[in-house]
Amino acid sequence: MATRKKVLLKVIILGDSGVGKTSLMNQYVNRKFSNQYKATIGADFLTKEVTVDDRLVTMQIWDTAGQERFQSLGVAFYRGADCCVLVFDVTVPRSFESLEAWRDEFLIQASPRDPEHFPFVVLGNKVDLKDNRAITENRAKSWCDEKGNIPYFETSAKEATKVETAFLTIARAALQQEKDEDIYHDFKDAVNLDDVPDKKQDGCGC
Amino acid sequence: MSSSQQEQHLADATELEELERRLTLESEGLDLDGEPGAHVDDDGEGGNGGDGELGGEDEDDNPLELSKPDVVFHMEDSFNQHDDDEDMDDDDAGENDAMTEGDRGEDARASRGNSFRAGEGEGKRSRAGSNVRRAYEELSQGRSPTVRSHASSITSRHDTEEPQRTDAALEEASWVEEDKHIIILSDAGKPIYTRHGSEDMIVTRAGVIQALISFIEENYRRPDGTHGSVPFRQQKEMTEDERDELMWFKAGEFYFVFLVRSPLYLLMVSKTGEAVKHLKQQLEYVYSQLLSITTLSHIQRAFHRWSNYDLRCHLAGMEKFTEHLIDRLQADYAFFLNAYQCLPMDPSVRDKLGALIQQHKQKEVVFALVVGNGKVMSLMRPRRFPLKPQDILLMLNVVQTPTRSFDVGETWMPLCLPHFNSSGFMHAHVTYLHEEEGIFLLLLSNKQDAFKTLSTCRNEIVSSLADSKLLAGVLRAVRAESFRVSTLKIPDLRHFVYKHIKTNQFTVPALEPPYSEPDEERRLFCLYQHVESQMHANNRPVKLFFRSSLQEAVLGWATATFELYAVFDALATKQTVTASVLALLKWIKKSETRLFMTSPQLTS
Repeated sequence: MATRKKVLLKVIILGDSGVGKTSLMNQYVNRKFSNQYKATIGADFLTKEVTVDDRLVTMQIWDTAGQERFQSLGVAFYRGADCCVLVFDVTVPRSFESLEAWRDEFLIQASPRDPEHFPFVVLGNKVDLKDNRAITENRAKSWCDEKGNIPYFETSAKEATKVETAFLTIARAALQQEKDEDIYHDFKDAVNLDDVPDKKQDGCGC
Repeated sequence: MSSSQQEQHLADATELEELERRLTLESEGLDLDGEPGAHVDDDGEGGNGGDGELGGEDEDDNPLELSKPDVVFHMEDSFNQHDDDEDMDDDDAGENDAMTEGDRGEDARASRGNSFRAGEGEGKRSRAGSNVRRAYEELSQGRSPTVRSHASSITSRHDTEEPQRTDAALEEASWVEEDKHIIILSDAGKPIYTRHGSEDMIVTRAGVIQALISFIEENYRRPDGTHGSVPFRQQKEMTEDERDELMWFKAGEFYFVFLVRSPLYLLMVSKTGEAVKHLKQQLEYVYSQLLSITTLSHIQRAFHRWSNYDLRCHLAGMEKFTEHLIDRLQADYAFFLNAYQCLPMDPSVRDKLGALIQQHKQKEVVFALVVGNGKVMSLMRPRRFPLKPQDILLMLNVVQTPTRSFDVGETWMPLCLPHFNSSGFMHAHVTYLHEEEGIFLLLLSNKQDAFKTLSTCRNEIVSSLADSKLLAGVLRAVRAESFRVSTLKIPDLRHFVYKHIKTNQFTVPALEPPYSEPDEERRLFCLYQHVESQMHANNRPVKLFFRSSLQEAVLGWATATFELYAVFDALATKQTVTASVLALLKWIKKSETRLFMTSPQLTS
């Protein structure tokens, strides 16, 4: 593998509407939080540069719309993702139950090469709302374990709890997927003159 | 050969009469009804708003296209674009501002925001249309606020120091001022190449571009005539006819032209005023250049294996070739003519040079090319493998790119000729045939291990050339200055470009006043480009184009055997122009074997 200074990772954030995907991203990228809710329409794109284990990484974060009516761009958005972040709201049981569907949806649409080992990270957001909590940490963790030991983090976009750590894990998980196969054997591809079609008709005089 | 030459000559003669007749008819003020092939427009500066309208005179910030609405959509399979206003965008403006705010914040270097919002394209065609339109507007609007704020911070710099100005903002500002951008990304939305600015800058934009393209692509026409989105897997099985493709749109003064070559997307953003057709053609060349470094089969295989594949690692070190090609796109007639230039030389010298190369050629050599002054002096190829001009231009680009690599001795590089064979590499042995005069010899083999053979072959050619009388003739050709129109003594003729259709070669004289000034040179280039696009317009192709302005009279003439673009004195009468064109064609005919390589060296 050629040594490139910077690695680019495409990270997709998925989850039900209102679980705090955009807030998490804003907290992570801009260190800002707003209580106001605004639905994401289609998707937002943000970038963040991080250093992971001495490697410079550009994270291209695709914040998608949770609302179903904005899902028309799904296929294109999922294509070529390096990591997928599933977010739910710890105060809304439904959003937790949806994780399964979001994960399946991603695997079907993105059809990654090795679905068993594709890196997911699960974030249980809004842990600052302790009184309204409906999903326990244990319940979330056991679901993640079941799905092949998906890393799980309890976050609060509002109080910036664990946001940095979570995204660092995301970057690391994606980096581990880097292909180790030797792609340079392709350079041996030589033109077989016997295979070259006779282009007499459409070629030019010279 | 002689009989066909005679035939060609006869055809020319009839066409000359045709030209004469048409121009004469015109000059007598007769209408050419029923002659859709001719388009003559000489009402001077003002024009009548028709096809002949030309803005090229007013420097380069005047778009050549007619005034159009701010956002223009053009899709291969354009569907209904009802403008029914869906209430989709209530609070978008606020969010955009928030992003811009974040941009300028302390994290501006590390983070940049960009939004793309497209609505519910749940299969309804009309709706998709309006959503797409909105998305485009979002894109252009999403750009401008960011752009303006940074740009103004630059201009105000002279008055007061802006403390919050960041390197990123500076970069952004200079990026925005460029006339032409070329961005290449993968269909996953990952940036691969950008002509201006850093890759970091286009990371979020690449996402937006990908969203725009896929939004159109995923809405396709079903056999029953309805439209809807389909899963990725099925998309791959769709035929081109079923797929919609985003081709271009216009936002403000910028044209956004797309070239979808899945798994790669290429985008040109241009305010140069060039026709969409030419911008697209230029993207094709950039794509070919990319393939020449990577091969199509590698790209397809790699992206098939990993849809998140990062092609950038494959391009490292090759940027200078791509950059050189891009810089030439707007200055070299070759690209819009799809033709290459030969170095004018005594035909017998050219023949002998070709014969000498053929004499020393080993069976491993497939193609041989001698290049002097950046023009082809000799070409050897197997009889059954004609070369497309596009591939020849790629080879010329290799040796025209300023690089020290060629000074140190022999260069051995893989080079895919995509129009010849896009699935594999040829291997090019590049050396000087004569270093002081900058004459290059390219020997191409399909065998990766043929370096030694080609190297020996090259040495034999060099020493054999040095011993022969031929060298003097070759050097004379390289040292000779380009021919000048003024020496031809053709009344009122100032400059011309002539494309020889049969060989895909063109010839052009040296620039003389007033066109020797850089600004005028550029203007002349745009003028020819414009005439070419007018003549080859899909909806209304024209064989003959004539127009006079305050600066000059320009003529374009396309026949089966040649294309001629020429400028004359502004006051030249049509009679003079007609006579001059005839005289010019006569001269070209007489000099044909010197100006063009009419028969390449063929091997079996």
